[in-house]
Amino acid sequence: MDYIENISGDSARVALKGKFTFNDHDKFRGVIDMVKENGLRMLALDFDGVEFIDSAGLGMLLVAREEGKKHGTDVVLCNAKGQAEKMFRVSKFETLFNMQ
Amino acid sequence: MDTIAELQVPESGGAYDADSGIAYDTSHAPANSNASQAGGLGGVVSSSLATTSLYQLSCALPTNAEDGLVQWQGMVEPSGRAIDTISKKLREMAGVVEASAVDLADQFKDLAEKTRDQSETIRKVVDKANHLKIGDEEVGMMEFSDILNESLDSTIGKILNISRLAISMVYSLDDAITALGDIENFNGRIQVINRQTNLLSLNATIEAARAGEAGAGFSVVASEVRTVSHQINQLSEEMGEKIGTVTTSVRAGYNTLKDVATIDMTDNVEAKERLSALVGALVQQTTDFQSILGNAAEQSRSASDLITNMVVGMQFQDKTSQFVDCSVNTLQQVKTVMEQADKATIGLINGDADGTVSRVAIEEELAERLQEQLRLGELQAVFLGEEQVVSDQGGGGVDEDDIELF
Repeated sequence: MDYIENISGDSARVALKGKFTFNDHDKFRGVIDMVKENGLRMLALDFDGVEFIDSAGLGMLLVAREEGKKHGTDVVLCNAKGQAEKMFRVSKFETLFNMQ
Repeated sequence: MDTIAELQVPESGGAYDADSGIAYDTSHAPANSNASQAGGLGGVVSSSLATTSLYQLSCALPTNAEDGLVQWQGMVEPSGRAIDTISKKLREMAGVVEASAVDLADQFKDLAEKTRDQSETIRKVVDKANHLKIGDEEVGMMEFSDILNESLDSTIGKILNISRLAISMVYSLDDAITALGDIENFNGRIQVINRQTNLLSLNATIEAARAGEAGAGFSVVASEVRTVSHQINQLSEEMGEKIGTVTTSVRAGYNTLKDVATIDMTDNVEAKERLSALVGALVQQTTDFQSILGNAAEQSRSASDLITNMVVGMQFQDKTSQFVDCSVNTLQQVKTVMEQADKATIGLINGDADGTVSRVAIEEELAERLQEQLRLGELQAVFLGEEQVVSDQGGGGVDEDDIELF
């Protein structure tokens, strides 16, 4: 997985790309650190380029949500489609995250 | 009618009028018949006979009264036999019809009962199809679907929680390993400093020796510093070993955790959707199944009602029996009257009649007797020429009021 971050004021948008699995936990740590370090009000994770997410990927999003709650950052999931959208739906992520 | 005419042909004896087709039984024909007396009754008899189609079809008008009486007498016995034959056959037929009707009605009743049972069985199947029995507990299909979905949601929630905890732990261990690396680094720096301290103490010892007696005290201090440096070095090495052990353990834990975290539960998560879809399809199929069975049960009920109505309808065979009874009794009365008239005719021919017989009296008596036998309102109406009125009142259909039950 790769990602491009774009911080604007107290909001950040991270566009993810490729497969989002356990192997990406190290890279995603950087995204979580953004929440810790930048005092963001909102972190939007764009899944438009994500073709697959596994259960570890869902776990990483939950960790990001937890960190967001600690630091007052609203983690938003955007543009999920295909397998990722199905995984979010089955996991009832709409009850945990703001979905766009 | 032709058949009846043929029945009247005697096999032997008597005469046969080829023109009229009527057989004459001459055994009752008196040699000295009273023409004038016969003329009066002959008119009555002729008139009565004229009302029957039998006479119209098969007899020519007799040329005199005596011939007329003989002709009339010839008709009485075969007509009586014909009436008996028809009566017997009518009763037999009525008996057969009644027996068949009763038998059929019983079978239909049985069929109606079985159809009702079938309807009840289908209703039970519908009920069973909608419930699953688990031990002593009965669970509805919808409830089953809810329970399954709740269980799947709970399972997925736990899977996601495990993933979240595993990732958190991985991140914590990442931090721990980084910290352990820092500690190893600090220890290395301690060892560098200690080596310098050791070197300095060595130099101090040399310089103290050069100073001679004056440096003796300083030499003791330098020696102690060297001892301390050795102890620090020993401690640092032990610490380095311990840090190495901890780092190895943490890395082993990290690898184990990585194995846990990399167990892909994606299939398990996706299975929820498949199971939910399967259960949804099962519930839908059960609903469709119930609907179809419900229709089948309704059809069975309708069939049962229909058969019950048919059984009720078949009870109207009583009417046939009554008509047959009535017809047979009427025919027997006709026969009786004919036989009485025959006896009267013999008396007339023999000249011992009292001469009081009149056409009107015979007609009235016969009409009264027949009317008495024709108890059924419908038949009586036909007999009295009031058929239209009764028919209109009856509306043309089967009216239960017409049935006079025994």
